Amino acid sequence: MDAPSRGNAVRWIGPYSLRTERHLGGLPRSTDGTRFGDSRQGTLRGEGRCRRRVPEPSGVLRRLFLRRYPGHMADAPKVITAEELDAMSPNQRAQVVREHIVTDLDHLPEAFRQRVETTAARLAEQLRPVTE
Amino acid sequence: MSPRRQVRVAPSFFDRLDDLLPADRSPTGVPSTADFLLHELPPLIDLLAVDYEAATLAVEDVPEVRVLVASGVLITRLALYVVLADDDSVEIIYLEIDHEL
Repeated sequence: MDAPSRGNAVRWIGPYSLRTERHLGGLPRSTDGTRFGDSRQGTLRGEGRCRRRVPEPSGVLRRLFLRRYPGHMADAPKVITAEELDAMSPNQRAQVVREHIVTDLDHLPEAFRQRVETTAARLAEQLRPVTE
Repeated sequence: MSPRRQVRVAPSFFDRLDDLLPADRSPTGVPSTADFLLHELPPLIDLLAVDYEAATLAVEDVPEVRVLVASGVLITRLALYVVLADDDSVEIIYLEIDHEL
């Protein structure tokens, strides 16, 4: 087959665009193509199960999703249990913690932000050398 | 890439940790001090060692102390109070935990 020209490059890089989408944080792709898969895959291979809409026990999908892709579900922080952390690899744990770092004190609830500021001021006061 | 800093934990931090968390993991999901030390603290220490400035926040009118705030891992929110020592290492001196959702 001839090498692709610039004109049909989009068609040629199709599979790679899927990979890119995954790397950029798109929906995870399952190995069996039935759940959490790419929508095209789901339509072709998991149609029956998708259409039946088998109800899942409450929270199961959310937990599975968050375990593999922590931080992608919503902006609101989700507390992870110690058991869930136990099941993670050290790298996964580190990634989860990094994703939960707060970058602006204004994003904190007012009460906690005030507590943080008050405590910091108190600690700084204790650290200052005593001068006559 | 900035050089990796040494990170030390002050005894006052451990005293505070004992005040805030139970010795054993509770059935209601409250982590134990060991859970915190094993799961939550090591990545935070690593972050402080690698990227102290970016990971911590300055507090208004308090230049001596910076705060690393993490949200929603084992506990709803936590604040690590850190200072930069004379030898350029980072010292964690205190801890605040918020259980409110």
